[in-house]
Amino acid sequence: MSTNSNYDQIIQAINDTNNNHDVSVYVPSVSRHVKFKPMTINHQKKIISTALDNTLISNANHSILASDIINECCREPDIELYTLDKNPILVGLRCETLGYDINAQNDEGESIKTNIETHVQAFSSIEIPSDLMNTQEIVHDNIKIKIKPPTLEDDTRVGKQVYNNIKSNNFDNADDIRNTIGDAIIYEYVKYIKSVEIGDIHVPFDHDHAIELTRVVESLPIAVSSQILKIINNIKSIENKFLQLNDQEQQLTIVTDARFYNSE
Amino acid sequence: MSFKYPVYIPSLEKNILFRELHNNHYVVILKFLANKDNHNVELYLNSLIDQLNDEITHDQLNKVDKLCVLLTTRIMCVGPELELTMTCDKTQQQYTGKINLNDVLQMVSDLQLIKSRVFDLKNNIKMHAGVPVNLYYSDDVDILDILTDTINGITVQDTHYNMSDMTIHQKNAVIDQVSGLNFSHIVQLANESQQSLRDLIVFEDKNPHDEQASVREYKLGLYDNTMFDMITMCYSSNLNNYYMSMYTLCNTMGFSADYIQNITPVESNIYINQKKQEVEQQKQQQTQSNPTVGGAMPTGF
Repeated sequence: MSTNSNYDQIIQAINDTNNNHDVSVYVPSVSRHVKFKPMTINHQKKIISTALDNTLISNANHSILASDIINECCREPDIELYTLDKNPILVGLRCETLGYDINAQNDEGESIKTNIETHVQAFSSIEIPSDLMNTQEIVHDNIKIKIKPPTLEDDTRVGKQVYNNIKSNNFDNADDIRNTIGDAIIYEYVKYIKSVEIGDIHVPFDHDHAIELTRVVESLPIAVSSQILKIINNIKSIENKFLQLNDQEQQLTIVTDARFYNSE
Repeated sequence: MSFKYPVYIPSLEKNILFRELHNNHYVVILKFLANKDNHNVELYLNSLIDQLNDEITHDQLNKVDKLCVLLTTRIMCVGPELELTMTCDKTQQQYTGKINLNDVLQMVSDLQLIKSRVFDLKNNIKMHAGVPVNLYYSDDVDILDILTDTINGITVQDTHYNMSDMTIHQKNAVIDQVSGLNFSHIVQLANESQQSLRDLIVFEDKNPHDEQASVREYKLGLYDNTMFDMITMCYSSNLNNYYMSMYTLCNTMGFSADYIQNITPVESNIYINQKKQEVEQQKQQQTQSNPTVGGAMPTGF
């Protein structure tokens, strides 16, 4: 049996090394590089484990885990991170820790080996519209809706409820699968909405109660939903820019699933 | 000076002399097995490896080396054959099979295992990998944790730490903290090392009571409990039978308990078999000289 002192010594030596090798990752919402602890094998193993579930559960779990890893590694705990930051941080963390050679995906879904160092170094040049992070308001008749890109914290809060909801479903039943996919879309609306006002009724969106809030979203007129979706898509299109590679020959996308952290 | 026999250690590519396994060792294994205490079975087997030789310790050996030591010890001190009793799923009838442990030992000794490998990480950390060392993985250890058993040492800022003696939990607690190693490299190494065991079939089971039953092949793996199961099968025996044998040897045959404790199980069996033969011969002689023995109740009293 290994002596405790030896075991403790190794852990201490590795932690000391990790602490001296922070990585610098670009965070779009603050328009600067931020120090992060490097990703560990433990993070990689956790991510691989999420891939062992079925697709819906795996996606939900992976999203929560990715946020947890970002929070765990971030050296500036006071910084407020947004979902907009998620992809560039994950890509930056992965590349700074494991290297820039990755398998990206082409339009046919094939894996293509590529080096993304130039792409990652150009993150700071991806233009974020100045009003993107501000609260936007949709007014339709007597309905007022305030929308803002979700913080990583809100994203995780809602994500955990989505995960529990998906886990409780019966995936042998096609209706259940359809409902689950539908719910996932509604939950996405919930993340972006800050409040809904209908006449004198004001509903602040407390993301700890996402399930109740989905009922509010479901009751909104289609015209309002379409406007919300337009804003969400606008934000998402910016998020996706961090994952789209400008390869001259073909369109390549970085897919930040389990394989992204465990392949090269 | 006590008797020693050579055991081939594949990773060292040489023989090491081992002393015999005695009844006092054997009974400890039987008790742990009877108690289904696999964790302590492994600890005890490791300590036995240390006790029975003067050249190496168990933390210098990988799990294939340990299997070779424990198979050779089983062959030398308990016997070269392993008898198995199986039950037909359809008819519930029992049937037996035999494994020649010398054949298994030969196959295991001949394995072309991967050579050790070093992952040089950019933070001045080096991970040393090779054949896994732990024989037994408990149920709470998942496959990703088991794969980590392929790491047997780590060098941090030029200080080397040997991890061969760590439990799988300790090893994972250490490896989990390491950054800069793509876990796919560990998976790849594990796949490569497992490949060398691909054709190692220790037993083929053809159920004679079910014509439709296909032949089941029993193989050994590096990243599961199959080697541990093989070892425990080799050393399994009924604890009651063991004590009955000890009783016979001491009480009926007059050996001292101390002497019996310090001979091998195979030697005990030689004495027991000799005694059985004598009893059989006596019975036959009595039957020949007095055919009524065991027949009707004697009269005239």
